[in-house]
Amino acid sequence: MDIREKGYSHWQGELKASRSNWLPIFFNGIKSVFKKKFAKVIFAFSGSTFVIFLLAVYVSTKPELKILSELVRLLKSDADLFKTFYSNGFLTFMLVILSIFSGADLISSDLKFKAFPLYFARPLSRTDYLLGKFSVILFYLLLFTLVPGILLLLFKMIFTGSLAVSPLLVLAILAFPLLECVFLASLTLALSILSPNTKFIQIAVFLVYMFSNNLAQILKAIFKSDRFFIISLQSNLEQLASFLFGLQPKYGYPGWLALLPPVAVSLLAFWLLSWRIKKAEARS
Amino acid sequence: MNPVLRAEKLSKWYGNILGISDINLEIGPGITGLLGPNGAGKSTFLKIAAGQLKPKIGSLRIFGENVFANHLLFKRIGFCPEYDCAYMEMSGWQFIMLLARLHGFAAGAAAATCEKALATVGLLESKDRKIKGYSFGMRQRLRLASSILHEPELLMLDEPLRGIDPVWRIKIIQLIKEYEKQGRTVIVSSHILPEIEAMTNEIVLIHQGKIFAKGDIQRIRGLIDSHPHQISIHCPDPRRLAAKLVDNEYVLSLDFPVQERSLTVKTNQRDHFFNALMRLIAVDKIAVEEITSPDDNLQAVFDYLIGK
Amino acid sequence: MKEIIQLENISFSYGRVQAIRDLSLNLPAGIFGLLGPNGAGKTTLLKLLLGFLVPTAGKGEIMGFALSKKRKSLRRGIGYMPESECSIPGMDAVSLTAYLGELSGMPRQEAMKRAHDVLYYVGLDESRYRLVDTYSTGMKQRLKLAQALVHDPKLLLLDEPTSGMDPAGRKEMLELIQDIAKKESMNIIISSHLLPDIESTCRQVVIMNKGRIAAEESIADLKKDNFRLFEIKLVGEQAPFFKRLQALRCQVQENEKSMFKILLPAEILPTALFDAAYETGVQIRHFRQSKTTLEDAFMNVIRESDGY
Repeated sequence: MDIREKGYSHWQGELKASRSNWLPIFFNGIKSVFKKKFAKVIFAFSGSTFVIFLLAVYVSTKPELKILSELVRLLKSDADLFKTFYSNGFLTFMLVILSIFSGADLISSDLKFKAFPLYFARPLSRTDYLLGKFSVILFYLLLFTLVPGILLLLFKMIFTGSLAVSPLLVLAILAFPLLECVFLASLTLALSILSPNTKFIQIAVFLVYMFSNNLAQILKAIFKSDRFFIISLQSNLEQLASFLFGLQPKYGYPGWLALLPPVAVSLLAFWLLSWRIKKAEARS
Repeated sequence: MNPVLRAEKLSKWYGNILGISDINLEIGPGITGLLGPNGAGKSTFLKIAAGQLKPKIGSLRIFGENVFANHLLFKRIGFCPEYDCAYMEMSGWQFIMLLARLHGFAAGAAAATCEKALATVGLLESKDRKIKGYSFGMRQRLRLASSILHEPELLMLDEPLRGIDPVWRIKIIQLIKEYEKQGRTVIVSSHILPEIEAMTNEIVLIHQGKIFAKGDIQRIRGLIDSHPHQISIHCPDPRRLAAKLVDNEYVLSLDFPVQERSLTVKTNQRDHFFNALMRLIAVDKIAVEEITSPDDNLQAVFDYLIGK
Repeated sequence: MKEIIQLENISFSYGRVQAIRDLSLNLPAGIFGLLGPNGAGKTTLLKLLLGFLVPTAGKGEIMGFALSKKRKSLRRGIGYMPESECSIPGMDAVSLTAYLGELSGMPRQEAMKRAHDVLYYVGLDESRYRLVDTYSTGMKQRLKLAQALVHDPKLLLLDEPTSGMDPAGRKEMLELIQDIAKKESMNIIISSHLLPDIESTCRQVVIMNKGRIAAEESIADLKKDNFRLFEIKLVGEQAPFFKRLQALRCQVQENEKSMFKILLPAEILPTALFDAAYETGVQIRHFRQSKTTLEDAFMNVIRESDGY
């Protein structure tokens, strides 16, 4: 042809039907979280515990170094190392911040700006949409828990020079962050679908964290029973970690009970999400 | 006779941003269409006319009095704004009753007036429903009802037909024309030029804060010299007709549209052209099926004056 | 020709309110306007076609895919331009359009390439790298059209495409739609309250009322010709001309805007009008066979279907 035809032109391509058509939502979400203000700061703080623990692991293999001796003394065994890393208060706090940062606006901004007609006019099922959004939070949470956990294991093996590791330990290293992150991600996402006001969601997630901890303390002080720590986000996670790593539980209730809150909350969150998303699609 | 609305050297700006500049305008009874691109200054003008903004320079007088904060004058003016504003938790009836009482109607008279206004816009059946349950078109009609309930002498409507379905469009346009027959003054601002054309021939065109044109659409079109008039003639043999016309100087161009048996003539001297055409049809017996002027409408006037 | 949309006895209720009752529709390929009063069920019908809502009864097929069973395959071939203000903030136009194209199943590079093409087509090429949060209403409308076109759908659903646009923007949007309509194998359904918009883009309309299809016809058929009725506009001394017409037993009726409707008796040819004009020195500047307006035809359809 000598001159390009003016006006509307058809696209000479084929639309792929694929099982993973939620992936663009995932990638888009990852990018937009990364581009936000304070992203690098939050990532730095979230990764800081990993750095410290990595150093401690290194130091524990070189008894001549005197730094971090307190921490090293705590890490009597492999199980202790990972349990302390995973359930330390600062990391849990940063994970809540990360959830808020990456997840509070995921669905609430779609509610506010009414993006649903644009999304659902696509060959996207409701599950695809939720999966895409959910995986954004899950990605960032796992990035600062599961990935460091595996790296810690690898580096430990390198530093100690031994490949000996108990399979149960590996299982626990994988299971705990998965449980923890699915729990936090589903909680945040479920709250995010409740309101178009992102600030409100951010505060709500944070309140859940703070309030659950404080309430447990108050109830323990009144009723003198350890059982109330099951409602505390922080403490229950610690209990769960002890249980999974086969260590002495910190609080006075059976370790397996600690599984209940994360699982129950996640299931509740999924139910809420699927109910509200149906409404959102119909209202598009 | 005194005009209903008179603006003299009217200017308004917000900080650095210009609203309107040096507007001199007189509007009398009847329907006047107000049009212009987005950001031209229409809303600014209407808000000043409705007494909600104070002019920076100049004056805007309605019925001879300055209108800003002149609440007694508001009895004679009705304004239907563009933006969606209502108390969502009230019912339509409560809302319009509230406005009626604020206007100064006593309780009994207010009820009668509100019923009449709601009936005119077809909201009588849904008057007890909460406003948050109203569709956009219904809220628009409620706003309209509240602007006419005190039967104002001057009615100003900003995009009154947004969201209104074709059935109610026709009825509301008829209502506005009724107002004209009753001798009232209506100023209608709209982006939808066919709507304005359906209501009136008098327009005011605002662009970049100034008045670009004012008056009868046809007269304005006649004054736009740079764009010769187009006349479209549907006939069985357009080329024969063209051959008869081509020798005349007042025929500036001849166009043969594809896929149509027609001829489009451009001329700046319609008088000469039509005289010649009448002779060609009556005497030379050239057959003609249709004669129209495709650019004698408001969209063309708008394009020629505003377009780049 | 294979039908694009086939609906059989579709019903849908919102709780106790029945929005669509027993609706059957067979639409061939082409461009259709979807018209109806508020509450007729137009929006509900569109949502059913897109799979946002599932019918409570009945079955249907769109482009060969079963309604509400093959929603994903269906949506792949549909482009939807919503009426409401909708966007995804924090992205620029190219990223947003490419993102939505990817979600439709385009490979990433193709989606990006096509996004640029489509943004150029709708006239947003100068602002495509800007954040969509900064866009004006007219630009947002164009962006909505662009995202509906990015995956080259076979069926385009446009809901109030000119909503909120100023006269220049409206004209350009209608021209874009007319251009797309010219492309073969594009099927378009335009839902709008603005009859002039529908008339300028569609040849056929579907009129809904009270949850049912009230009419499915071509505009030409709806606007029936009145064979003996002509509309004319004159310039010159009118009295002698009308006297001539009365002598020929033509009935004359003046409409608004100085347009006259002339009813010719059976034995008089239209050329007689021109003879009379030439002999009395009057210019006929507008001459056309009178048709019912689309407005009147629409009102007739609604009135008849209200009888149910």
